[in-house]
Amino acid sequence: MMSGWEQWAAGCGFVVMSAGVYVLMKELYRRYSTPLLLPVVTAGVVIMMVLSVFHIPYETYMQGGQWINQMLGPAVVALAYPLYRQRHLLRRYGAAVLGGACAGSLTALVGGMAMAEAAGADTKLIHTILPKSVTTPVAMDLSQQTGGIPSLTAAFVILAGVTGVLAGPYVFQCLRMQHEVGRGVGFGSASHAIGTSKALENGEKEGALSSVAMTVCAVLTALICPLLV
Amino acid sequence: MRKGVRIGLQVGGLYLLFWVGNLLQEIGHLPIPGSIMGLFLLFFLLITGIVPEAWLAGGADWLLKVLPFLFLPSFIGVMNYSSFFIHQGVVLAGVVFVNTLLVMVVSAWVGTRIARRKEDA
Repeated sequence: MMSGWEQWAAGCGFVVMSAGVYVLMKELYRRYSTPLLLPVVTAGVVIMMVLSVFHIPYETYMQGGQWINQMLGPAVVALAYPLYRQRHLLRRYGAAVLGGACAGSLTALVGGMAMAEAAGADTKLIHTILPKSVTTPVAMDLSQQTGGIPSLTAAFVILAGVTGVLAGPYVFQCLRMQHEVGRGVGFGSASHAIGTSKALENGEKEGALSSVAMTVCAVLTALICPLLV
Repeated sequence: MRKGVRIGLQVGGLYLLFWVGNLLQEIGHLPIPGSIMGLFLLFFLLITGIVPEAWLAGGADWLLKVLPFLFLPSFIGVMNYSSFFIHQGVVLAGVVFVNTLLVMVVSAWVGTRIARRKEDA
């Protein structure tokens, strides 16, 4: 068994490694700016490869990884800032964001349930993927509460985020949906904070609307999801 | 260096609000997660001017800048489910992929419709 000090050192090592790989991948993304090189995906794949090559279990990695995870809560709290700075937008587009987020949440829950059932998933798996459209801490709580597998839910949350960021811009282009408000609401409702970080790249207005939509969806999903299952 | 210390302290402040949010959720038995409660609380404090914007702005901007990085550890958790993904995961991943795009289009469409009506009025 490792001593407390060794665990702490290993944890620090994993944090530094993660940050290093992420910074490198971000640089790569900046240079070749294609959505396929989304840093969280490439960095994740690289770290997974490193861990499997050296036979390091995920639980060992999480000695450091949990510290990064801990920052997710305050990061959600920090979303109050774009909301506050863009509060005049809320007055103007509050109804649009609320309407879009409601429609999105219902599509995610009811549509997701129907599609998963049609695909032959069992109850436990349906409950695992149902909260996938909302931000990780909320989705994992809901998964736990309804009898899903929380860590697997986290993976599907990331998948929903990455899907939106990778395919979203093409879908909007194909369907000629280029309204800033609509795009912001779409990114936030379907792809939570990962989508919001993409929307922020497009502009503070789109980012703020996305973060409102994501928040509304998180609250709505938290209220509706336990009733559905 | 001083900037780093300031951001660190501000992130600590945001963590405190997250903690209070969790406390509120627990005491009130609310279905809303603690992080979202913390968001509401901070928004309220900013609107009322109890917390001036500059107090936590640096920490908040920094956290939002590194947000995608914070997802990395949960994402890496996928490695524990590699056999699952070979068997059932592909189908479920397909469901999530299609459903996500559907959610995106539906919410964006509804949002655009309502926003346009407002702009035309």
